[in-house]
Amino acid sequence: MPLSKLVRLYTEPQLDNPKLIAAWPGIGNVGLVSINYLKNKLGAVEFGEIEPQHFFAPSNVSIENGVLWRMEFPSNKFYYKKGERDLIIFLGEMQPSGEEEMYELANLVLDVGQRFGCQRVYTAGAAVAPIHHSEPSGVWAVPTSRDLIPELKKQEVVLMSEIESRRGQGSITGLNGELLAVAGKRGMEGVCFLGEIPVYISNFPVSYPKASSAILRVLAQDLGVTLDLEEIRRFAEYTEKEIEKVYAALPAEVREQLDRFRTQAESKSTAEGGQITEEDKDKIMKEIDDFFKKGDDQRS
Amino acid sequence: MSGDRASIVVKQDPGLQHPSLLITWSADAGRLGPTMVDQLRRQLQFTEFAEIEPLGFFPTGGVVIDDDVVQFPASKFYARPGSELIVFHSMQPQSKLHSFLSTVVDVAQQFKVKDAYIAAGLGSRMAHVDKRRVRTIVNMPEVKEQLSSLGLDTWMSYQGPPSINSFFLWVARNRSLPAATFWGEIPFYLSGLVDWRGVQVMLGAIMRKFALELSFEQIDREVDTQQARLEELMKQNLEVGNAIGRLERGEQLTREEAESLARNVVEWF
Repeated sequence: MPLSKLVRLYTEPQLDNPKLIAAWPGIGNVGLVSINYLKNKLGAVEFGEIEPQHFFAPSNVSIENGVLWRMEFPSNKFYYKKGERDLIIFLGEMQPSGEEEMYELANLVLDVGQRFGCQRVYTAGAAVAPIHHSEPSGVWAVPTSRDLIPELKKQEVVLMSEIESRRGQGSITGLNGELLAVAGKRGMEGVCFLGEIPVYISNFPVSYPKASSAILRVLAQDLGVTLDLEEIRRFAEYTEKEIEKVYAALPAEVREQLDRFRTQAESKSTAEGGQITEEDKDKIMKEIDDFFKKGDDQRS
Repeated sequence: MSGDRASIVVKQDPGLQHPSLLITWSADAGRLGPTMVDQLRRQLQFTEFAEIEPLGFFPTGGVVIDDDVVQFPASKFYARPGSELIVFHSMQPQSKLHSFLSTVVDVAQQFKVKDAYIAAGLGSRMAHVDKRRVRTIVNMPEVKEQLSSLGLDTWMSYQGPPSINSFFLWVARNRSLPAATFWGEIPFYLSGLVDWRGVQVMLGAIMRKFALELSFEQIDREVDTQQARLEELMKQNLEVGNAIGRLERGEQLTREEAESLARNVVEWF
């Protein structure tokens, strides 16, 4: 079947049973940072795009001497890599705001994947979790079929049923989830890897490379590709130091609350007092919000 | 057609003359619907030939996870050459219900369906060892006569909020399509699991109605295993044993007792 006119391929590489990995912006840009890192480290080559103007308003205009020269839109590009494992990588700079547009975009991405013989897709994103930023980020895995669970269990991943408060249930918002839904409907396999990000960091407009690094470790193993993670590990260390500076500046009572996330992890197996309830989390988030709002008021 | 624009995708014509339509839903008490469809597809090789596009009927902008796995809205029609039966399996739509059900009837009429049946689980205040009935509601009196030989309970009375199944019966009647719902009784504490006994009873009724050749070997094994596990739970957990014993005697449980029983059973399995 011919591709939609909204898809532009500059070239059609010969790929052997490639896997498709797609990422969009989200909480902590966890997914986008990890897949963009993968694309760069593997040296994946751009080979196509989806026409953005159908889905997005322009993000930038260039006018010179009264003449409009250029209009820029959020990009939606395809990259490929031939090697240990043939891959197609899709990076979207933005997610459409409407449900119909999201559905349409997901279908276009999969049209391209299937044109080259993809049978499996991956997406990546953040899992907001009651963890402390000093701890390692775990990786949650959500497949489109129970048949994939034995394979996933060979990795260091967590299923929703293994998270006490979840009982096997949850949701994946946006295109990270939508792409899997559409893939499943087409009979393709799909997995979403979600890297844990501390609940109190999830609202900040910062990246959380610790979670991205955790996803990359698992994804590289699942794909069977060799990936140098040194650079993102250093980025994660740097980010953690920056978070620590902000953390140290918080009022003692707020820090004390956040430290409970640390002690909760230590007492996870004993389920003693120190368990953080939803009410606790809301209270902690409000105190952090108030702290930063006070800072903004003082600065303005 | 009275369904929404461009919402049906037909991949191939199954080449049936005057089939019946069997409808099941993916969220179903005792997981009756999905388990039955799985058995029909595995044993009789029913294959997909059409679907209803989800846009407009289901939220698209993310997915729900249930039982560790992504749940995607799929509304598919299956058929098998030589069998005058179309199976429709779908998530229940979240919006535009009338339009969705009308679209199902559109497809039915496109493929010359002569009658339609819904198979669904009905969570009931009963014990797992009690006799399971299949209770039937029809949209035209003549359908009741046609079903009389199947040993189904056709005397149910109810007044209250309708389910999507009753809504479908009404839509079908308005389009002159004879239809009925088969409600398979499921002990409420097994509603969230596969109730293999319920599957066994319902598939038996479906097999008789549509003259299908099905093997019950795996299902019978699952029934025995599940019954044995429940007996084990009743011995190990006195609260559970006591509650199920009272249901066996026809006694009522309080809401708290019923919730506790359901929770214990789910955790056990």
